[in-house]
Amino acid sequence: MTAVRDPVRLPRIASTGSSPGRLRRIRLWRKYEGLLYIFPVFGGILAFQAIPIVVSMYLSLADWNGIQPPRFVGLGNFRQMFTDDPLYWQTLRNTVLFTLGAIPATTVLAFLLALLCNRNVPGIAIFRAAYFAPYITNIVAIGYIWYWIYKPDQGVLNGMLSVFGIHGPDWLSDPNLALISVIIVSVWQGAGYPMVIFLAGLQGIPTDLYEAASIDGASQSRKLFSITIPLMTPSIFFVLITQFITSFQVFGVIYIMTQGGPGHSTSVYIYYLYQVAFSFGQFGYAAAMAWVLFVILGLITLIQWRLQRGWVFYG
Amino acid sequence: MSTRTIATVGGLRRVGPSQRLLNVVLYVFMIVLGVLFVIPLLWMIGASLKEEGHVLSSPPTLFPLHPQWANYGQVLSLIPRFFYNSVKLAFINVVGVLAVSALAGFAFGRLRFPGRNVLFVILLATAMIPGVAYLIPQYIIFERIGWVDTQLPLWVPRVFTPVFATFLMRQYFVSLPQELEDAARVDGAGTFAVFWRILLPETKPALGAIAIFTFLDSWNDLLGPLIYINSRELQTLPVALAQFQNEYFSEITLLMAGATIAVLPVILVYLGAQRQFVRGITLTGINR
Amino acid sequence: MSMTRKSTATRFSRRSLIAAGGATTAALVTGCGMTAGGDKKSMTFLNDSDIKSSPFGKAVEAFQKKSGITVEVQPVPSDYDTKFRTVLSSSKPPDLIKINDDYVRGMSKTGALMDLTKYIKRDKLDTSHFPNNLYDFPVQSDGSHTAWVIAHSPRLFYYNVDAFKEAGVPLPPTTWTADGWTWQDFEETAKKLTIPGKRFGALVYLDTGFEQTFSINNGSPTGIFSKDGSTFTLSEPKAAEAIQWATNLTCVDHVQPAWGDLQTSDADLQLFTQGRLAMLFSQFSTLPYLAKNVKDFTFDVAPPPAGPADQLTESSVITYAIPAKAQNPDAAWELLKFLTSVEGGKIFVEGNMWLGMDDRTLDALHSPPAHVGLFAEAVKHSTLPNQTNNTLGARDIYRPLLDDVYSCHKQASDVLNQAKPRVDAALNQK
Repeated sequence: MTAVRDPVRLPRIASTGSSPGRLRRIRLWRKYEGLLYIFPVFGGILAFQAIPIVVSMYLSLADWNGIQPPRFVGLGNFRQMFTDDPLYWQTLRNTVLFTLGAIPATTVLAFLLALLCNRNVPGIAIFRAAYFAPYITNIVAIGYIWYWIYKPDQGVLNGMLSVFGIHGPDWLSDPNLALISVIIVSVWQGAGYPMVIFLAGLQGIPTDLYEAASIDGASQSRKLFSITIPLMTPSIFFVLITQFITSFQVFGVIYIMTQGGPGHSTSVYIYYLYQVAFSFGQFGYAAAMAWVLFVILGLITLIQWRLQRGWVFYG
Repeated sequence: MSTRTIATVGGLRRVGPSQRLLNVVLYVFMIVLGVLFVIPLLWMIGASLKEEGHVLSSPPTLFPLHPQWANYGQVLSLIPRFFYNSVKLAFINVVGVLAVSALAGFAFGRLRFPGRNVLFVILLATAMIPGVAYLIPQYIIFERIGWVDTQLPLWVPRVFTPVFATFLMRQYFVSLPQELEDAARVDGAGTFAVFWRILLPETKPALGAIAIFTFLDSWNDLLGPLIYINSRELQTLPVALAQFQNEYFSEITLLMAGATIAVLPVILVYLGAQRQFVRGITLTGINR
Repeated sequence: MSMTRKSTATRFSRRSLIAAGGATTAALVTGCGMTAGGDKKSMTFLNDSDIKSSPFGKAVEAFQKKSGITVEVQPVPSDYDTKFRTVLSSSKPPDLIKINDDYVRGMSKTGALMDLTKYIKRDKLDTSHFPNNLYDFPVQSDGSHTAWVIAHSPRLFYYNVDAFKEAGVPLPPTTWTADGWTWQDFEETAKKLTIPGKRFGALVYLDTGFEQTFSINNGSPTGIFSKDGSTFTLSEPKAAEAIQWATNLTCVDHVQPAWGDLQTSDADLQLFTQGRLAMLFSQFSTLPYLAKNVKDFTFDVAPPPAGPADQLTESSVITYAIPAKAQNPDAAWELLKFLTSVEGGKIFVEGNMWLGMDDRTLDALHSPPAHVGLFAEAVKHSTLPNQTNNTLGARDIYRPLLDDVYSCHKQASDVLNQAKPRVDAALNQK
């Protein structure tokens, strides 16, 4: 992206001495025209999500098995969730741990990969594809590969450790380790998505900034910290917000690797929600869980949004 | 001395031997990392060619001695219709999401209108409600309007509620320099012209990223087609691949063959769209 | 959704009253009378796998030809529970649905499933050739028959004949006998068959059917749950002992693969087909996979070893139901009858998919394996876990805890007794 270009010659609006009425109309139009641009998106939300969302709000206050009419129970679901359901707290805790473990690692890894891929070395397109590969590999295949890596007897990891005389642990069957093992898989698999976002963001940095810095004698790392990272903060912000929202709703990697086990040490929020809804048929309870999640995510996003003034730099 | 000139992000630079060593080390590191990242994909392709009884062998192997190409024959005879449906839906989704999110992202990023911040918050909020919570009410509504057993629920909702895509476009639009817009407006350009001719072309990298992810979202969507589609002719690829696993056993080789076939369009779309991320660096390769 | 609305009759005009009356009458008419059984010529069928090329598909085809009823199959090869509950909450569910046997009791209570007694009586169905305990599985406490078992799949031990010969071990019995085939004998056999690093002797604890099978055979009177489904009995001494015995095959004898090594799909089947596992406890429905993929050796089947009390085996039931709101229940019933008839059942057996309910279908059992007739014998020695109001909830509590037992970290009786209060609570909730 280049910084300055010649202004494009566009046909002029006939500027015949505009009357005040006309100016006012233009100003009025300018004020509201944005709404027209967001109409498709909000039309969609109103049409496809508003009613189901409102219904699910009602359901969170009810008992519903999907077949008989819902039975209003007020805050009963929430009371049960918070005071009478140890599994709920365990899945919440697991989800928070997962998120705190996965987000920094994924973001940093993705950023490094994007930096590596933003150079003009031979075969760079292949590298970009290779680092994206885990994101598009079939989840069953991923399950097998990591099962091999983590197998206690004759697994790849424990095989390497045994060379040093260390008896490797049970990566997926030890309740204390299983979550970490799953986080590693998730980071490895998920880094491709933010990497692409970061690559897109890196393109938005004008090259002449680097040229100017070179002329001034700046080192590579100086350039990284003074130009690249500050100008990447909008992308980083996007990645952090979206990562929180998706990490809290992690499902697939848990399902394929551990199904919530061993014990319930890798059972996460959405996994439990699915069970409650579709195995136990308690849709009211599930709706209540969903709304608590919404509140949590809303708070986190709100905090992040407020904080962005402090560090996000919009050129 | 043997200094060379290479092309980098910041233009042409002269590099000394220590810098070259660093570059080589970095390159080797990239290769090692690349191999680690790509091995499961390679295993997937290799597994598709193995004999079913020996897919999970110990010690594990990447590629079989006697590839069973018949696996592909079997899978290919089962999936043409589903492949076509998936391609069609993915295309509609990508085009639709790009259009809707670009327009909305532009408005949120560069226009002022009353309620802009509130509406953006509401938009983001919809992504924070787990879809599974309102799956059944949504199904019941779609059933009432006769959309069940059609492909409409598989693109219309996604195209018209692209939350993350709009968010990304907004971020991109916000970070474009004001001078671009000012210059165009001084020349008398209307808002849409500013959007279409001046600013949107500058967001190609974001458009590329969104194209990739929307394609992936639609291509890999399993739950949507599963819930809403009953007839075989309308069904999509992920559902078709699921038939290779039943409650008693899985036909792993066929599943991997199907997955390999399914991953090819994704790679194509990725390679095509990621050209938006390529800097136009001219390599003159001057040696001295 | 139930929303009460106050009707202010004074607001209705005469015209709207007539219109309302007409609409109500129409609704009443379509709700009963002529079209109550629906269009007898077509039906929709929700199934948890794509049956097109399977024996099940063949059976449905045969039914269509014979009866002239068109069956529109809606395959759901993944996430069946999600779709199942979703379509049941809609106003137009399919006419016939596969139902996980654990859901039958719970769903019956909500009135979602049609009581088939009226059809059974009307057609004077002859059920004398059906195994009683399996047939009665979907009968509820009020006598209603709310689901239909169309087939079943008993468990036996698949074993690697070549491995036995190579190890010089006498083959397991070819009839249903306890001679030379007690738990002690089984353990000894497994030890002789095990070559550390190359082959395991036996795999018992992966198939969850072993819980009921081995606990009953060891002398537990009820297996996992009590007869009335209100208490958890797997924690009782004889039952817990059986669990521990199976676990010790790994933790003490080292003749069974480690629990952590089995946690991926088909891990057990792959071990067996590659000759790295000599004896595998698994269902009849595994047979197509083994028949197709075992190429390097001959395999055969044997009954489970006899415990001190008995020599039974668990048979999984394959259950289907007609939703109460189905539009074409008559047609659905015809299909159900066909599937449990001799003609329908034979198709399942010939395709090695399931055993038909009618014992006359069992003649169609064919080799491999050589002693496939043992599956027919198994029908006479079958056990089923007792039904409860919340089997899923109970399982979700005690099974994850058993992971620690199978990984050799804890003892079965400790874990099961610890779980018992919570499981009992789950069984008796609401």
